Amino acid sequence: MNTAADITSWLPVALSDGLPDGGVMRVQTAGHDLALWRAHDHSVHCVDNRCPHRGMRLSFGFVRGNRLNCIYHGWQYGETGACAYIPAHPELTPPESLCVPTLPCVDHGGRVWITLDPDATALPAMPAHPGLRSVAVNVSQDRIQAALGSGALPSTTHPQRGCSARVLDTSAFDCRIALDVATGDTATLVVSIQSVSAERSQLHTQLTAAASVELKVAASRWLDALRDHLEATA
Amino acid sequence: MSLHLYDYVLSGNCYKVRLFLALLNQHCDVTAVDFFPGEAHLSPTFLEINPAGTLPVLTDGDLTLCDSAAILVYLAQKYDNSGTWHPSTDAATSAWIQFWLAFASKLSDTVGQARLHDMLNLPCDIDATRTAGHRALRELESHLSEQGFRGHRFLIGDTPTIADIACFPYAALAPDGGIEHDDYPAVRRWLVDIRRLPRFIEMPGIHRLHDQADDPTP
Amino acid sequence: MTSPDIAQDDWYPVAIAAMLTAGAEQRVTLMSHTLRVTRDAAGKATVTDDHGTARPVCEAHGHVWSSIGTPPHPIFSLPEGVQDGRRLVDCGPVRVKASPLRVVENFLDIAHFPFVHTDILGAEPHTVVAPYDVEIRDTVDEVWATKVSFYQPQAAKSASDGIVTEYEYRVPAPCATILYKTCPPRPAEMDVIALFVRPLNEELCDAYAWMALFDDDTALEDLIQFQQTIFLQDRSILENQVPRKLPLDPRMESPTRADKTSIAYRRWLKRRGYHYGAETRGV
Ligand SMILES: N[C@@H](CCC(=O)N[C@@H](CS)C(=O)NCC(=O)O)C(=O)O
Ligand code: FES
Ligand SMILES: [Fe+2]
Repeated sequence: MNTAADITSWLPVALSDGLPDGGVMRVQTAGHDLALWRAHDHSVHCVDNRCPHRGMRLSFGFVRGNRLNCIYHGWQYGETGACAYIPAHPELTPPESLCVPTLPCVDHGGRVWITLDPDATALPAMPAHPGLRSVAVNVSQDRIQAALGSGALPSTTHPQRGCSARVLDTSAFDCRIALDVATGDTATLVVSIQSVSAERSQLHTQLTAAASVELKVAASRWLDALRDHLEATA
Repeated sequence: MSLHLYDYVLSGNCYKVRLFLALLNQHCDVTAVDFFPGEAHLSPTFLEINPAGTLPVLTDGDLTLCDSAAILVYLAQKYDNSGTWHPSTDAATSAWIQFWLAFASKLSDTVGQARLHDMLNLPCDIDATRTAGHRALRELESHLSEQGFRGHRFLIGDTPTIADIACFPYAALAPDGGIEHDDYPAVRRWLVDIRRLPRFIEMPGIHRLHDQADDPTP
Repeated sequence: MTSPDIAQDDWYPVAIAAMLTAGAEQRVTLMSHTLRVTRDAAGKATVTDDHGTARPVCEAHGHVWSSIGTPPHPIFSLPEGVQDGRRLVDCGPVRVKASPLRVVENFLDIAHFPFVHTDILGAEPHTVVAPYDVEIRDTVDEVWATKVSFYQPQAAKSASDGIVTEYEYRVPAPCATILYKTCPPRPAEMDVIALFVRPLNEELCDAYAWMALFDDDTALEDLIQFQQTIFLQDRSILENQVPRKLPLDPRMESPTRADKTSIAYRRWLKRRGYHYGAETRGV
């Protein structure tokens, strides 16, 4: 998982399925306020969450074609971050200096990643499992990592949906957890932890194999229990 | 006989009714009641209409209904020819509609209350109210995630019902009360799906989805 | 800057005059001070601070005004407020998590109409902001913008069709702004809409909208709710501008010709040394 010692500094900030074509969302990490968006050519982009015009958060904006539009005055930004169009002055070609800072952003392994390090090396190959859900937890990334590392994971007890869980392994990017469901089914959950702030994180989770609705619901309820456990013990 | 709504433009409960009427393409006469700053909902004239002093109120001929959930049920049963907005095909579906109508009141009492505090300076224990609001949104988030596993975009099935209309306003307006949507991706997606419904109308605090407009840009 | 500096000597709205009834008491915050606003049986409004000290008070333009400092001037005048035939409409204070200066600046801006007040004050593709005039009138020390025009689908509650609306904007005090706009029922006159802002602190304020209109037909409730609709559409924008305070360093944000009024307003604030609610740090 992402620690300062990692050779790479990519942060998982969303599930690929969580950011559809034309979608915009806010991402906060390490004091940075960012807007993540996906163009209709399916490419993903990350910009400073602040319109250079009058400071409006671009995460409130909207996507048309392959441009991110600010909600306040409709200024349009292309995939490079350069301002391409100002509705109040349609005849004006915006100067090159007029642009919103961008961060490297890739859609890889079923997740959307950003890095604050312009020299970060490319992410290694990893399987693109289907996303389950992203879960917000009011606990720091470090504490979550420590809790997963300790192996003391909660169980759920429902006669059909109940799960017991154990950590299979952790890599620089995620943690794999085996879930044994009361029905006898098993599933492997891939959990990527994103730090939001000193007290908050997001868990972006995937299942390694196609699963029934019941199995997904069991895993999802277990994630609710994991979140509650992490918050109660933090 | 014609429908008449006593309305306040900033009320999420009134917006439930305006929105549903628009989605049904059903005309209704509207009387604006000066809830703020005039407190006209507490005036003797208004108390004659609704002794509880709350908005919205819908009248249809001799019938007077004083609760947004009751109004949604009534409009669906009487004016929805499609029969999809309040499906009562089986006991469980009827019960689930009821569950979400009650949940909508929980949203109104928490997220909606925080909004009145932050926006109109109405007194409340704001920290406790926001905490309860986040708890309600977590409940909604978990349910909508599970609906996603079933391939269902809405609270009950893949077709919108009055359950969605009842829960939509205060969920959408949560940021007005300092409760951000950042932690609730399934809720965000559901909000967008509702905003994309044909004949959807906004209220202040919920912006137009401009990505649907024809792009006039060269 | 966090000291109120010259800002504390201005007048700020502390109550809607008509809602401060005899014997009533309201507590409001002005620049982090708690003020007690009352009206006695004789109809006189009084404002006292947390030490029980009487503060300056005046009644004008539908509001009770006060100050935590010592205003060197009487409050600005607004002759339309007493003009025969106008209906005066109080729209109530709305709280906004933003600098009062951001709130005023948004009021001066027309380019956002198609995107924020869609199908009411503007609509695509009518997004062009035509050139207009801006000046700082030195005799009165006010910012004025004139010959402003914009296409509007529904310019007022009384408007039924789209029209090109003519505007004039006036900033008589840093936290007060007034617009004059085409009056659909009476082409020879202009409607007046004012926004008076009371800072609770540098990043939180109560905004009082007040109107003086020629419109005898529209119900009062409809007039109020039309204005509240507009202001509440702006509120979610205002609470999401970064930084919350208004930057005075011109390099921090990138205006265009459409923003001439805002540029003049920021320069005027800077020249006066009015820094309360302003981001004075540079880039
Ligand atoms: N259960 C009612 C509650 C309606 C309600 O609380 N309305 C608010 C406006 S959003 C109101 O009128 N409040 C006045 C009061 O509570 O005094 C409904 O859903 O219609
Ligand atoms: S603030 Fe973004 S376009 Fe004006
Ligand atoms: Fe506006």
